[in-house]
Amino acid sequence: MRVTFLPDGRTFAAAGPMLVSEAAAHCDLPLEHPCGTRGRCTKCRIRFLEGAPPETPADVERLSGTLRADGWRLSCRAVVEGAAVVEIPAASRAAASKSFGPAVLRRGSRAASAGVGIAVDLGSTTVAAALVDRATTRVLAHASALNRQVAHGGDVISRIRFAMDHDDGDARLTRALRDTVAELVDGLLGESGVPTRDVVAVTACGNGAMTHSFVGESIRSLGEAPYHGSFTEPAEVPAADVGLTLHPDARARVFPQVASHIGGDTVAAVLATRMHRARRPELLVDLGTNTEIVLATPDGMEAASAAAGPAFEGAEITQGMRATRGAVDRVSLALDGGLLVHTVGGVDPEGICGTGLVDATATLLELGVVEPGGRMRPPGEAPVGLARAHASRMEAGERGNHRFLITDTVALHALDVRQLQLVKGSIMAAMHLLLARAGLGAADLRAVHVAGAFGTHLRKSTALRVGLLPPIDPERIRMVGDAAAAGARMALCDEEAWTLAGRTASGIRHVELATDPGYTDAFASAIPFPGGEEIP
Amino acid sequence: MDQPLKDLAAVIMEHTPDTRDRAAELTRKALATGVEPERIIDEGLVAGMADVGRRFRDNEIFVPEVLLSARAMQAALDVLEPVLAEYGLEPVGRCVLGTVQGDIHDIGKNLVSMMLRGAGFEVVDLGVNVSLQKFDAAIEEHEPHLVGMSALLTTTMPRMEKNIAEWSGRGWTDRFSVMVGGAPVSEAWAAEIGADGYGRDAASAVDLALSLMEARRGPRAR
Repeated sequence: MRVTFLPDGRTFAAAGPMLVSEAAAHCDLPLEHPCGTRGRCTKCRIRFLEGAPPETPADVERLSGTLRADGWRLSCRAVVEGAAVVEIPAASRAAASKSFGPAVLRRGSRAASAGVGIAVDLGSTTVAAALVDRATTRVLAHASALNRQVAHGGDVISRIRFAMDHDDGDARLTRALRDTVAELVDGLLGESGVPTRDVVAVTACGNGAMTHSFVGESIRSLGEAPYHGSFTEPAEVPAADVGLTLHPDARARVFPQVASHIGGDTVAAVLATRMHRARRPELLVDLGTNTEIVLATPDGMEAASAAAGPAFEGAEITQGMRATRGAVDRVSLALDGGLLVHTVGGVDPEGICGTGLVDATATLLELGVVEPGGRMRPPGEAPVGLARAHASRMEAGERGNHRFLITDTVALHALDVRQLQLVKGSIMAAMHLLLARAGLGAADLRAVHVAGAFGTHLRKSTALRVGLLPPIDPERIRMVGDAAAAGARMALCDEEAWTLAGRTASGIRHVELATDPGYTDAFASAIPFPGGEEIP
Repeated sequence: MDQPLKDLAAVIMEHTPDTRDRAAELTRKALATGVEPERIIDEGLVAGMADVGRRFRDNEIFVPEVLLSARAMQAALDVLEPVLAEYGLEPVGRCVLGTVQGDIHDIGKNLVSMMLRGAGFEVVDLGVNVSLQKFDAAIEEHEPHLVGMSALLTTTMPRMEKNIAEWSGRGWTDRFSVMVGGAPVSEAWAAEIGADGYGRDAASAVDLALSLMEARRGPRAR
C-alpha cells in the first residue's frame, strides 16, 4: 500500500494493506480518536481523493451517503491496499498538547458557575493549566510547562528525599511548584487577553506530593511507611495564598488525596470517567511511575498503587529515552512480515521510549524471539521459520543479555524485556488482587479506563499482547488520556463535581498491597507474558 | 552421587508448581534410605540452587522461576529440619535479615532469605518495617554472623546508614558483617555507608554471604 496525506504532502508506503489511521500515525499525523478507534464517533474521518477503499459497516452506520460518495471514511476502519491520496481535515487531527477533556462538559448542578477559572494538573514532570469559561465549560486556552521542582529531583521519591535532607527543602519545593503555576497562568492570561481580575476560581489536582507542596504542607511523611500525608480533606484557600494574583476574592481548590500513594489526581480521574456511578465493575488504570488502580463496583470503590518505576519514561532501559524527537515509539509487523519502525518526529532513531518498548516486546513475542517466560533467544536459537531478515537482527550478548536490532542503531535488550516484565507484573498483580478481593475476574469488567500521558500513546493491541492490560475485549478498553486534568476542569465549572470530589476521596478504600499475603504470588504469576495465543 | 539426590537437584531446577511436593517426597525418600542430611543439603539442595542462581544471572530464568525453585527447596528443608536438629548439624552461617524501617517491600528480601536457606544458612527473617531496636534484639538473641538489610525506596535507604553508624558506634563492627541490597542501593553507596557488602540480586547475595563467611573465618582461623 502507498498513501499520500494532504495537505501535508507526506507519503507512507508498506508492503501490505494497512489502516489509514496507522499509516497517518507513521507520518506523524496523529488523528483524533475519542471513541478509542471503536468506529463509534466520526472524529477521525478523512477524505479519500483517490483510491477510496470499500465502505465499512461503521462508515455506513456513521456517515451520510453523500459524505461516503464524496470519499469520506472513518480512518480507524479504512484499510488501504493499493495507492491512495487522503485529505486530513483540521478537525480530525489530534491536539498536540495536554487536553483537558471534551469541548463541553456535562454538569451535575443546574446553576452555572460564572466567570473565568483555571484548572491545573500538577504533574511531577509537567504542569498543565487551562483557562476555562466556567459558564460554558469551554477551554479558552491551555498550556503546559516543565515542573520547576525537577531541579530538586527527577521523581517524587527523590524530591521527598530532598525535603528530608534540607531544612528549607519543603519551602523550596513549594516555591518551585507555585512559580511554575504562576508563570503558566501569566502566559495563559497574556495569550487570551483575559484580565487578571476576571479569574475567580482555581482548581488543582496532582499526586499527594504535588498537592501537599502546592498548599504548603511538608511532604516528608510521604517517604516512609505508612506514607501518610497531613492533607487529606478538600482544601480551599485564597488564590493569593498559593502565589496567584487573580481576582481579590478568587479561591483555589485543591483535590484531596485518598491515602498515601493514591493522590488527588486519581480522584479527579475518577470524576472524569464517571466510574463512581458504575452499575457494573469498571477499572481505572492511571499509568505512570506510580500507577494507580481503582476498581469501582456497585458496592463502592477500592484503590491500590503499583510501583511501576520509570521504565515507561525510558529509564532502566538500555537505550531508553523519553518520548521525544528520535525515540522509537512504534514498532509493528507489516502483513508481509517486515518490521515497521516509527520514531517521534520521523527522524533517525536515537533510542526507545515506553510505547516503543511495549511495541517491540510484543513484536518479538509474536516472532518467537522472546519466549512467553520472557527469555530472549540468542542467535543460535532463532525460532523455526523466522525470516532471515529478522534472524540477522539477533545478536548475542554477555550473560544472556542478548539483543534484537530494531534499527541499525537501536536494539531491544533481553534485560529491557525483564524490566517491562517487572513493570507489568506489578501493575497486573495489583489489578488481580483488587479484582480478587471483590470476587471478580477480568471478564467481569465492563470497562477499563486507561489514563495518563503514557496511556494516551499506548496501543491496545500491543499492551494486551504483553499483558499490561487485563485480557478483555479491546472495545471495553478506553484510552481516556489526561483524565485528571479533565476532572479538575469539571470541578472548576460544577459545584456538584467539587462536592463529589471530596466524597469520592473519602469513599475510596485504599488497599495496601505490599503487605497483602497474596502479593508475592500474584506478582510472580503476572510476570510471564500471556501464553503466546493470539489476542482477538 | 545417589540417584535421589540427583533427582532432588533436578527437581529444584524445574519450574512447575508441583515441585514443592516432589522435592519433599524425594527428601523423605533419601532420608528413609539412610542418606545423611548433610549430603541431602549439599548434593541436592545447594547443588540445585547453585544452578538456579547461575541460570538467573545468565538471564535464562527470572523471578517467578527462582521463586518456584526456592519454594521447592524450602519444602525439602521443612522435611529436613527436625532431623537436622537431631544430627546437631551446624549451619553454614547465621543471618538476620529485614527490610528497614519505613519500608514495607519484601519480595527481593524474601528471595534472598530463601536462597540463603538453600545455601545452608540459618536465617532469621524479621520481615518488613524493621526498626533498629528490632534488629538489635534479634542480634542479641541470635548472635548472627551476618546482618542483611533491604530498602526499596531512596527515602528509606538512609536507615541503613543510620543503623550501621549506630552499630559501629557501639563497637559491634566485628560482631557481624553487614550486607545491603534493594533496587536503589548500589555497590558504591554500600561502601560509602560502611556496609561489608552489596548484593545486586538474590543469587549474588548468596555468593556475597558465602564470601563474607569466608572472610570472617580468615582472621579467626585456628
